[in-house]
Amino acid sequence: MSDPVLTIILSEDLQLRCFIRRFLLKRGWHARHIREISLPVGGGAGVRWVREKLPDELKAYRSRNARAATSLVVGCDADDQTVENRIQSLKDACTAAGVPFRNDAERVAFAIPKRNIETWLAYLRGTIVNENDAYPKYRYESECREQVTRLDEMCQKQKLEPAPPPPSLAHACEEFSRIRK
Amino acid sequence: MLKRIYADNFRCLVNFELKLDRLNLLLGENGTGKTTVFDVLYCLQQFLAGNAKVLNVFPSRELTRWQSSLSQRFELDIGVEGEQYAYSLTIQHDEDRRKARIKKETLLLDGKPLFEFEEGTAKLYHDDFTRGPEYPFDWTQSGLAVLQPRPDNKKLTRFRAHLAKIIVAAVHPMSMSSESREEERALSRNMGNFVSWYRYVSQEHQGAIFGLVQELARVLPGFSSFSLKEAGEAKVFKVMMKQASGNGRPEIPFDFSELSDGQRSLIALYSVLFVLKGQGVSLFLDEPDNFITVRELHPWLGALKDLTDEGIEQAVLISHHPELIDQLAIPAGRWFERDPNAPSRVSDQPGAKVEGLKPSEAMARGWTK
Repeated sequence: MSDPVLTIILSEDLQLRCFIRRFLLKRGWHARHIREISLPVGGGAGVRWVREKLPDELKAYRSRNARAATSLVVGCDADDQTVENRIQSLKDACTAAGVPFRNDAERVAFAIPKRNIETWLAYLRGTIVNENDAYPKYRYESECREQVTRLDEMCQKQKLEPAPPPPSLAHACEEFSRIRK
Repeated sequence: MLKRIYADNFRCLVNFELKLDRLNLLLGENGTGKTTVFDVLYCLQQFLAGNAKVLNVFPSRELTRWQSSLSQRFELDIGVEGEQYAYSLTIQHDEDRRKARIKKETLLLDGKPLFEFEEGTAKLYHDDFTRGPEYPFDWTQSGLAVLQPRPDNKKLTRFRAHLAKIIVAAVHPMSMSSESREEERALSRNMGNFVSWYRYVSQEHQGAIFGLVQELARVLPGFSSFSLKEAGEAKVFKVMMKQASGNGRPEIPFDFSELSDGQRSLIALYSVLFVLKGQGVSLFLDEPDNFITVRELHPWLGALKDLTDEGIEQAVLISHHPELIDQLAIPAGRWFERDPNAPSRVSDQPGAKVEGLKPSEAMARGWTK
């Protein structure tokens, strides 16, 4: 039997999903070990979709993780909310579905850029950013390649620069330590 | 209905047993032996259909590569009208792998012998299981296949007739010719002779053609009817299509080969269902979803499931398509597995039952173990 998938990316936003995937590849994952869950067409309510899907993905993660080490990366924009509020809304969705939220030992990480992934990309291009303004989008998601490399370099140095980084990116880096190989 | 198939020392099948129901889906990764099981069934059909020589049907190159044994064994258990046939064939290949002979061939009905061949001697039994004639027979072909129907061997010939009603096929539209030189009773393994087969069944089951045409008119936009046009010694299969705008405009005859791969596949798949319904056939179809859209797959599968209650005796499918997997994997799945250069294994326990996920998604993640 061929290698099973080790990491699931559940993300509403195509650019964010692409960024996460490429970052994992940079950090040593193999493409066969990653599976991205796609948002259905008409994805305006992307955060709601993540909330709806998360309980099932947590159940699947736990079912699988009992047999083989697995991880789950959940990505969604914070938009005008705080990162903590977004995580709380995901927790509420799990509670409503009767599925326990992730515990400290679980390899489940949240990547929640504020305002959105374009904020992180602008920062990784060297722009001084805040988490309220909207920054330009790429025409093609794959254009984030250099920013992925930049973040990988920062991870190796264990330092986000220029300081201060967007707090949501710093939060995501802490989250990444949950699933780090 | 084929209830059980067993093979030993044939490609990746070593001491391999598969039990089947009326509707099954064979699942598993590439190279786990699903199609090989169909090949075994097809080979046994060919072997029992006439005068085929054993080495032509079961050449030595098909012996399991990592085994040294030169003995192959195949078994079929088939239920017909409440009675259980058990067919067994043991083939012995020579050391130089250029010759093979039948070591033993038997057919039992409810545990009692109808035919036995061993060490060059055939023994026949009457329908009441009393001993019939015993005679020397050729080691290189089936003694069962060549027996002529007689009033006292109806049970034996019923087994052969039932086996002949199993269709083992994969839809290869690129292999389907528009032309037919003669009618053919049996559909070939890749359905390349579809038009010749249609020529035959359209004569034998004329009433069913009307239902087929009606169904295809719903499935294929613009489809009107079929016709077989004389073209010298051959006949050419034409598909009449309506013109898009309005009534009164003449229909356009298209050569079957002018249709898309998907259209030809749909015609073949619906023909098999609608022409053969009520005939007691069993369908073993290898990846029927290959060329057709998701939109068309669901209704075809629905029709297949409906017809398994209306004269399609058994349907066994191989598929990697999420639509088929999600519908059939849990209730009707047979899960194939195989380690590299190791024998195939099969289980009827759902391997892909991961809480929160569809079976197809669990399979896509490789979470079936």
